[in-house]
Amino acid sequence: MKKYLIVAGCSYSNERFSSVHHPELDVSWPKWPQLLADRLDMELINLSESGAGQEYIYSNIIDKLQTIDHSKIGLIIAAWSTAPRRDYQTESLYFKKAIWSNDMNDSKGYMNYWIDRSLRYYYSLQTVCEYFKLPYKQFQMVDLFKGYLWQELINRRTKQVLDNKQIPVLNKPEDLKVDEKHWKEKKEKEYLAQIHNSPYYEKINNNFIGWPTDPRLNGYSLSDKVLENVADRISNIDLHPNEQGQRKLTEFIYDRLG
Amino acid sequence: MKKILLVAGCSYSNERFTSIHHPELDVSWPKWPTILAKKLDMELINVSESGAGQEYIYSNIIDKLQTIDHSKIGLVIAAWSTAPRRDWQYEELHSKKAIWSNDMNDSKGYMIYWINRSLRYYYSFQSVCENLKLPYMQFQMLDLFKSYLRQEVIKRRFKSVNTRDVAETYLNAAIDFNPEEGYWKEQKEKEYLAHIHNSPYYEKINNNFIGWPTHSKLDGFCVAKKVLDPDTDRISELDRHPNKQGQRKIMEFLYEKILNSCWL
Repeated sequence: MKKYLIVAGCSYSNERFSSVHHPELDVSWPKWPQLLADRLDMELINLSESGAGQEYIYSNIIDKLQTIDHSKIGLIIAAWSTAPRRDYQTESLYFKKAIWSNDMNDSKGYMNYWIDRSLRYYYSLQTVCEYFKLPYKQFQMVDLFKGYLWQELINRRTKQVLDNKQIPVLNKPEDLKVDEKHWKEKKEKEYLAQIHNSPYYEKINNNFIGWPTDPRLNGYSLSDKVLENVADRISNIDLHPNEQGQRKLTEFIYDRLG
Repeated sequence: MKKILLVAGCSYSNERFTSIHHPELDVSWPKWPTILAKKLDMELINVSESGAGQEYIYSNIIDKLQTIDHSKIGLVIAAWSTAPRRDWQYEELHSKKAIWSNDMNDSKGYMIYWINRSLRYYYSFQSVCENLKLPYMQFQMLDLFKSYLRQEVIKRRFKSVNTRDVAETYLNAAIDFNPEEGYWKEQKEKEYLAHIHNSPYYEKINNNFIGWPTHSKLDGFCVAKKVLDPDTDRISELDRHPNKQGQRKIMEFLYEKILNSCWL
């Protein structure tokens, strides 16, 4: 009997992903969890959800671990999301079931807290898997704070343009003004120092691929490391991996399973 | 050299507790973590904070565990709070330090989610301590959802009266509820208890959780309700925090559990 590959992550790992920017586009190509399960000859349990943050990912993995015979688990993978996301459950009035929902940015806290919270989830997952001697890997699929900083810069420009006629598109360093660039660099340094000085920095083990998640700390997030900006993404406004991108993610992860 | 007793909890465990209802009252009597540390001849690290919820408690314990030599830890105690509380950190402008803050009720989610979240924190705490082979105990200091239900009934009363000029409503005893309110509260309690009972964590929380599964209707208890006499061990009718005698009783109850355990 095949062993289970359990995966939880965000939209990059979601088999049911649809493109918000290109709703007409057929994006039903196989995603990396399915491709990896095929490659490993395992049965896939993919809990990934678009918009998911760290709480969703951690909660769904440890919930699932309570209902599965551990001897049947071949591999657990947490593909972590951006730091600011907030997950919670609401009651579906029709089904009377708890349904997961999320906000892109938690209305409480600030980036340093969201980073700390993420690190605690990494450590907790590592601990649970180590305790039960379960095979596992984890990695940062999307950068912890990059998307948030770009969004903040867009918010600042939008505030300055009082008539709000045009929402600027900002996703390239060359688009930034000098003061914006300076602000972004300063914030990045602060967030990287937060990771580097964290008590968890030395505690996360080698099962975290790309730790400590940023090239300036000699780590990486997977999508930045693996995906070419043009060839492997859906478009320049939807940066999710296309079919080739999903294949590349699979190859990269497979090569690091040891 | 003394071993360390590491405690995290809410206001019931906070050495710097002040009474909101009686700000003039001297409440500087020793709290249970201090008395317990003395009794166990341990050095206390008490990271408890008033208003704290489960995220604060879990985070502060596991953060602290990263900075302490584990061989020096005598006992780790999580004294869990009510389910709906939300904790987060903000940046203090002057010191640029991360400061914990909290809301009594999380603006997101609902009770079933807050219970799920609490159970995951219990389980995660248990796993961390088991994995690091640390002596530990945990318990629900306060009822997970009782105060929330009472608060909801008070809110309904205010809404139906449709005025803010109503004297503060106290609902502390079963007789304070009208039949419709009592029925609603009972239904909700049943729903929440069934949720705990049917949770995948129900069978996974081990005996280091004192009073599991936290409610008398499930053959468990929360420590405050189990130990404190409502008339003699609380500060007042308004402020239900433990008084000096109450703090001592909590300590004695926990000490006895520790003596009868293999944790030390």
